Amino acid sequence: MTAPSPPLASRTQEPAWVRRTLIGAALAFLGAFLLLPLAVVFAEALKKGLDVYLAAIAEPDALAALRLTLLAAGIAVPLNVAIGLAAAWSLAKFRFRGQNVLLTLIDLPFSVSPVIAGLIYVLLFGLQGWFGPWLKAHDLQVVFAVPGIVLATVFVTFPFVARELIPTMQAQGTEQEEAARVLGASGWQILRRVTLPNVRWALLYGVILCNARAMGEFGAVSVVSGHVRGVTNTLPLHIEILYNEYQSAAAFAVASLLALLALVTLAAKALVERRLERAPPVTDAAPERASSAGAAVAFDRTALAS
Amino acid sequence: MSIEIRHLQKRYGATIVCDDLSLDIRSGELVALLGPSGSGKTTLLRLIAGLEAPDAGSVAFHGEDDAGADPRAQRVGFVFQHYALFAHMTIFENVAFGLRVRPRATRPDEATIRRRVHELLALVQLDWLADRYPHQLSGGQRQRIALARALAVEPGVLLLDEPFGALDAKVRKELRRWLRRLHDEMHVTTVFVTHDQEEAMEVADRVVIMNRGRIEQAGSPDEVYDHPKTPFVLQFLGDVNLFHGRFGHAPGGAIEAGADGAHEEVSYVRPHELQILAAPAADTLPVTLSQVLTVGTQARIEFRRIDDGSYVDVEMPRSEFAALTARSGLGIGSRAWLKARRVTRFSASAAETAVDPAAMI
Amino acid sequence: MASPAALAPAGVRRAPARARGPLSRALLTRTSVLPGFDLSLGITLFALGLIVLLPLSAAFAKTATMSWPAFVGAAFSPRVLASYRLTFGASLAAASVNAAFGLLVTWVLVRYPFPGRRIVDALIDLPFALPTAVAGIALTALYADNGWVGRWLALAGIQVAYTPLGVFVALTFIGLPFVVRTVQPVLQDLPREVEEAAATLGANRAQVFMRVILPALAPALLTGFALAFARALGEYGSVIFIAGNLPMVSEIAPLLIVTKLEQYDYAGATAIAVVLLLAAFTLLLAINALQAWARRREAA
Repeated sequence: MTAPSPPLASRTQEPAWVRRTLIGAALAFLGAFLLLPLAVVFAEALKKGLDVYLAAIAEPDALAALRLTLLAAGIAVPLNVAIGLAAAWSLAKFRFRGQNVLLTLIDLPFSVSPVIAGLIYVLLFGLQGWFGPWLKAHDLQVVFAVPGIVLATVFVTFPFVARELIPTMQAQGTEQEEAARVLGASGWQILRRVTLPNVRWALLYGVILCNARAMGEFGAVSVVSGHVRGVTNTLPLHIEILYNEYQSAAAFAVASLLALLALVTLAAKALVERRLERAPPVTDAAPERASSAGAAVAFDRTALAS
Repeated sequence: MSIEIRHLQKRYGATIVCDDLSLDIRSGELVALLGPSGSGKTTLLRLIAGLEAPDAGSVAFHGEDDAGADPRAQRVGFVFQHYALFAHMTIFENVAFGLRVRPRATRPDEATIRRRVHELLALVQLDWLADRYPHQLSGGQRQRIALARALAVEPGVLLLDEPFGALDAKVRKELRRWLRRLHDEMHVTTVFVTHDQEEAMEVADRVVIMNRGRIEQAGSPDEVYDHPKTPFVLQFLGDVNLFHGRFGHAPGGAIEAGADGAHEEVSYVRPHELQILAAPAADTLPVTLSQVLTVGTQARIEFRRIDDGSYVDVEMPRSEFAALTARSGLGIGSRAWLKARRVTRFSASAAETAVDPAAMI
Repeated sequence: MASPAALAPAGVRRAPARARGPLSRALLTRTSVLPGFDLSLGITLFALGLIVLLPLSAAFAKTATMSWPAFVGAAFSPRVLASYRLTFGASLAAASVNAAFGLLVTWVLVRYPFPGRRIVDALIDLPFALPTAVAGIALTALYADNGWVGRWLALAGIQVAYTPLGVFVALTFIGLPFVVRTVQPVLQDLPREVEEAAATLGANRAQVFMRVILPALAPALLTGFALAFARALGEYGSVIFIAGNLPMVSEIAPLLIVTKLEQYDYAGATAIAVVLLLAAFTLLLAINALQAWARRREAA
């Protein structure tokens, strides 16, 4: 009698010691590269004590920087939501020539270095730029002033909302909207009553990402800002100034605010992701496309803060 | 290679998926594991393959060449429901895979591999697809490649998990016939899982009917259909009419709801085992004709019992029914009397089948 | 003869026939009853043109005004070349490290349940969510000679802060999530059956990994690598604090752009910018091609 076939479990799973080693290595890598930097922000911020920490945050220039950061985000996010919705509506619910080209173009700001993003606005609106003389003649200033900061922020956050909405809306197909249309709904009614409720989590996800990047943007804003304390500084720029003046504890104090924002962003992302996974997309498309919605959300990671 | 399964037990959490299963599969046999979903048939297949480990019991393989104990004869070939082809490899490489991963000592040389792969591809009539990728093939083609891949390593046993489940009806029928022919040519011990009784009955030498983790009956297709051992088998295979009480055993034609000891009697009659009479006779059931459906060459006639209003189905060839209605003027609402040519009853010990010899035509 | 509209019961609005706008007429390849195409596409094109394309074209227009020798001089002077070497070299190295460790992290996250996995999974995105300036000063504090990590490395004679090595570390940090997030869904969706099939055919675990799992992950892995590489090329905020910013030694290309801007050398800055933009766009095309390749290979 020949021996019975050995179970194939050993060929479909790694031995326990391999597993434990890999887990250890992965966690060590992540700990070194993720946790340490996060920890050092708070450690350095509180190094000189709690009162120095609070003073740094409450300082007028810091507060002004906070206001400007909120202003820039407050304009950039809603603007990009509107543009993102428009782009997603046209790309997801229709078929037209040049769709792929448009998708690639929308993605452009992702591949552009933030410094270059700032540079091009200087080229456009700076004194020697295309619109420079016109602006000077009308006594308007864009670069080295608040409008420039807002513009640069809008540029770098341009694709975020669109990239979250497009795959979700594509996966959901057009049947519901067409049904609403046949029942007599106008375009705005369809958008408000049918489409938006279906994509609300993807939209929220895009807003979270867009906001995080808008508030954290550094390179682009640094180029167009005049670095005038209290006027044309956002929080990241303020951090830079403090750091370069060797006010390290104050710099980390302000940085800790942004780090907290980052953690809140991560938590919000995780929560929304759970919602997106749980609610199956209402789809008339083939099952593969339904799963691609979840995958698309997972795929959509690129430069957030710079 | 034959398979000896003894007292296999497997549970997932609190559910017992395989309950004390014992089965012998002869070398070269083609066996179907048939049952509803949740019956444990796929788990049994995976236990045989070694993809799962049993909680208790054993699976033993007996090679024809016991003394040689050729390790290759122990190799079990497995074909998955969704093919599980390697998407990044060509068809050729897919089929060659099992040969390529052999340890250096037993690995055949390139020329041998090439020859064998082309042999197998020719066997499944897909030699012309050798350089394509799986995503370029149809479902039926992919399944045939999956089979060729499993056969490449010359397994002693071939296991197929709902091999045609993901294909549409016409392709399924073709592949069924093709599998049978392939088996007749290769004589590899084959076990396949299906929930489609037509498939099992058409293809297999022996059918093993499973329900809730247990084997209800194992036998040839004719055997399990004509001589079911349990009510489940009878009801699972084909249609059947159920009557409470003994059909046709009381004089006078009515059904007696009797008690056989502590159990209530249940009689089973298949639709084609009922005869329609235009006038009352001994051991008949009074009914009215409620609906007639013609499906292909068969007529399915639905009757309503006069005594309790329940429905009884009768099946007969269309031509026969047409002749009957012409003769007796039977129509919707007409009175009729049903006589059973054959009644199956199960007692606690064994199935009892009563046949009316006079009605055997 | 009553018109269909008159026959419709009162109170039921029939979908009005729409006039098709110019964009619909020109571009739609499939008619649709849905409204709003012209408006939505119009808004999109307008915003895209104004916010993205117009400013970007300013850069190319600017370099077009330069003579070829002037452009070459500005874009490929020794100092600029040194910055390219550093930027491209460190980005490549960082992306490679991220590819290797990213694969490890993804494997562990997907295949091994361990306590706290959910939290670790959420934290992977930290380099995305954290503003680069914050990351920059944090990494500098960590790797400076008196920093938590720096002091140990100093004992071994390795200096990280204010050297090209620091640039490499910063770029590794910000590229970390790319590989993980691109490989994760692919690994999650990899059917176990394929691994089981390989096992039943006689492959041992190492062979299953090398011949079946890894090739299936290859497109996603490469895409993640390319994304990390592209991001690293343009990175500014996380790097300038930890780099020494010494010309010819530890100066990254984006910093050089800023320096030239501050000196009002717009032409010089733009020339470097154009080189970086062309590299980025090439990478973008490569990434698109990789993703198309990955989609083609899906599912058998």
